[in-house]
Amino acid sequence: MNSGRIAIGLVFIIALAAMLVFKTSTMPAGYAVTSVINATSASVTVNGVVDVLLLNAPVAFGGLDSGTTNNPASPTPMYVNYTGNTNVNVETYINGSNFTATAGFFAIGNMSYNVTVSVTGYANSSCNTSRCRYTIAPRFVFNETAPLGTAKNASIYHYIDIPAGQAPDTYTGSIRVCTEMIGVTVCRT
Amino acid sequence: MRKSICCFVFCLLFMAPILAATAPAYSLGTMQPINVYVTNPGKTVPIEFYIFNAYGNRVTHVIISVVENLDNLQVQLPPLKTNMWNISGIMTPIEENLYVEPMPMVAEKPANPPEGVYYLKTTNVTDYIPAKKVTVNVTIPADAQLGTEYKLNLMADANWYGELGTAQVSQSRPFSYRLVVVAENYSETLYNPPGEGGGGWSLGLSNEMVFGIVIAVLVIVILFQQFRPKRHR
Repeated sequence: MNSGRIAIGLVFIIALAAMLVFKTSTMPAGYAVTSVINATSASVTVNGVVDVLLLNAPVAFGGLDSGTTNNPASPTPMYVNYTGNTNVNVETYINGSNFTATAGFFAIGNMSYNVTVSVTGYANSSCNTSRCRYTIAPRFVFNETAPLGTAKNASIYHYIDIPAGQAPDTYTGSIRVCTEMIGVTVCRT
Repeated sequence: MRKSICCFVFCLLFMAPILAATAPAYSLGTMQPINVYVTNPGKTVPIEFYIFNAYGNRVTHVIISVVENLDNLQVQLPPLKTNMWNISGIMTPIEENLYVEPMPMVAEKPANPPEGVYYLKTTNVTDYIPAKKVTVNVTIPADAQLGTEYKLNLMADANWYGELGTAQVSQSRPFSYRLVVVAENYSETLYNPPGEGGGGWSLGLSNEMVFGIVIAVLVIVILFQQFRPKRHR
């Protein structure tokens, strides 16, 4: 076996050894050994429960004379109870429709209200410190943090003005109380 | 006189609990399990939510409607029916998609639950909530682009009857949904747009491969030197 072939064999062995060493441990200057991170994901679905109980409804004012103002409802107030089943932060909007009867009608704006909320809720300041008039379009009245087992109450105190000269009859209007999870933004439209 | 007053007070005390028990309590409870559905083109998605009446003492009459469907998805609501109700002796026709009677919460699921009643469990209370399920079928267009996200808003309007009052009260509860369109089968391929993939002289070879090629060239040169035909002088 001549020295040339021995040299060739040595070159092969050195090349293979270098490839193994090079692959596993040789690092160019300026790099550090890094760890391998396998990333995955986790997901969870949260059920949204909203449970609202209205008490002292429908809203009744009894018999009134035309031309009178600020007549309170009886009984009062109407309670908006967010029961302990509710597990999300919620907000409530209200609106109404005109009072109608065979003899005629008068606008829903003749009915007004002011609201109170629990210590953890927030009321529309316009309707909290003073009165708001009902509108055809929904208006935000209050929101509440998730009751999570302990019911929370809000109250709506109603008042009505009877337009002067309104024809005698039994007038009926309607109130819509729309409650949604905060972030849904449908009740306001 | 004293006897009359005593009689009056006695009657009032006796009547008080009866009068209080009849005061209406209007309950609308809802559970929305999920608000995002992942679906495929041409598929029909059964959107589900629940309605319950755990604390009320009047039947909750519900109408379901679509309030926002900008993409004109095909939406099939539960059938709207006109049911005849006997309310305090007065026959009253009521149009509704479903009604939910007062169903107080229970500590355990009954062995034989009423048909159409589901028992919900929340983390806030230990009891089960009897509820009725609403299913709304939404069909995705067959030519829907993958990655499209549709938005759909539904509304449940609840009414109660039998009481007189100047202002009748109703409750509304919206349900907002997103429907995301994806391919039916999973696939993943690397996308190399034209003009990318490295510039200059880079051939995409690893260091080990370059070293090996160099060694191989050296070996070939050495072999050539060893076995090349010798010049005869």
